[in-house]
Amino acid sequence: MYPVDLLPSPVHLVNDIFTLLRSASRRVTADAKPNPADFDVNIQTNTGFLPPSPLPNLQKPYDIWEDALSEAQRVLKLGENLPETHTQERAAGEHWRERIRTVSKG
Amino acid sequence: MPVLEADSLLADPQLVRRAHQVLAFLVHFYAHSIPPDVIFESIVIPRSLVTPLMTVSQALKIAPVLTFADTVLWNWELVDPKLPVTLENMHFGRHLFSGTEAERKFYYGSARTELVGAEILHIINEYHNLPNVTEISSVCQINKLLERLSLAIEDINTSIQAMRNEVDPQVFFWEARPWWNGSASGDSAPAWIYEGVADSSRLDLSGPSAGQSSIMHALDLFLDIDHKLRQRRSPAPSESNKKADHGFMERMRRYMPGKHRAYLEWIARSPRALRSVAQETPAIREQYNAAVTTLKKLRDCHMRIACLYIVTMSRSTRPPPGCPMAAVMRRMEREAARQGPVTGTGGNELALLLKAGRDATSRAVLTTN
Repeated sequence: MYPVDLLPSPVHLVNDIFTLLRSASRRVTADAKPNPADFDVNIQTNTGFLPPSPLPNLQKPYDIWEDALSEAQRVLKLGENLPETHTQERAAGEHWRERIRTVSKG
Repeated sequence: MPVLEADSLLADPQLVRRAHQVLAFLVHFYAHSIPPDVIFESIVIPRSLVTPLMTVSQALKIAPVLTFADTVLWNWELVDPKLPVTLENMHFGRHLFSGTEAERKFYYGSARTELVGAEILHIINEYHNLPNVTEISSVCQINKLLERLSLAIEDINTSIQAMRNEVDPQVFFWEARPWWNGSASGDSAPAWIYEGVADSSRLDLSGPSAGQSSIMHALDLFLDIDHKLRQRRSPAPSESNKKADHGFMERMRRYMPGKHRAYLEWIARSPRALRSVAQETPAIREQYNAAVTTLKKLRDCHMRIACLYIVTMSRSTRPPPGCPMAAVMRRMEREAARQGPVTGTGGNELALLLKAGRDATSRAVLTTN
């Protein structure tokens, strides 16, 4: 083998430069960091994983879910804390659950 | 109640979150308000809740059940809507199951920890914005960022510690926590069947856990804490470490909004993984180790608190005031029946899990010679 064979030919040289450029641009892409806001990560507002504003209430027709939740918070007790003697509270709970269960027209 | 299609909500992310929150609260209210003596093996969750909940959960790429996001990240209002979103101007526990202060303060303390942790997100962001990790000026910057990271971890620890004085463990354990249990939360706890879903057992229905806090996951991934014991690190895992539920942290990610999970995946695949950089750069090893050690201390403290709130309470026999003895006994039996890693929030397996997490953290420390 002659030493001259070890030198890259002009064609190889061009190819090598392309490869180099490609790998450089690949490195840039790999390094390019995404914007945290794209992930609902709120750095600007300092709220982090919390949204930058509170959730709004649902409007019609979905307000029936909001109403059911308000009533649940007023009426429902932990089932395991309701022995059979607590008939009124048990009935109130069953009434709430029955209305959730019974499919009605929207 | 009619079965409403949630499709028209999907254009507004805030409304999708709200729908998930309200429906998930309704599901847990529905399941846990049923007296155990009228439950036959399983609980059918009606389609009026399930159908729209499945739609919004798919849109958010989040589990179709109550999550940390529903109870903490999204569970607040502004005291004065004209003032900015700061901890002082936020009212937490917009929705409560038990209506107790212990429950509200638990959500508040958890949210405060998230807000304190926002500094960590700044640090991760600034680290990835550095032009490189090799030049002297960058190495100096990394050291400064790591110093800030240790302080931020200390602040998180302070916030968690403060909850000891804020949340009554008795009320927390007996009145608030039972509402959060998901499907089949113990050997004798009923499975939930989602009406209209082909196979409910394939759904993620565990309920919320602090293990779903994205900030702690971000911290672990940034420091490359190996919870799954995949790397060879010393000291080798103990027998009890090996018994712990290694998949817990990864499973908990399915209970996060998909975008947060994607963010965590991005940190995990970072082209400039911090621990590798610290391995190759002796000048930052000390600050890296300091941050890891601070996180290990946080986990030591967290173990003590969790022990007080859950492990001790699940072994306690003292019924809370007004709670009928029979119900307490049933609960004790359920807790006792919990064998092996199931939800990660039971008694013994929680202790195992937290110890394993603490030890995995210690193993991230790099040798400095």
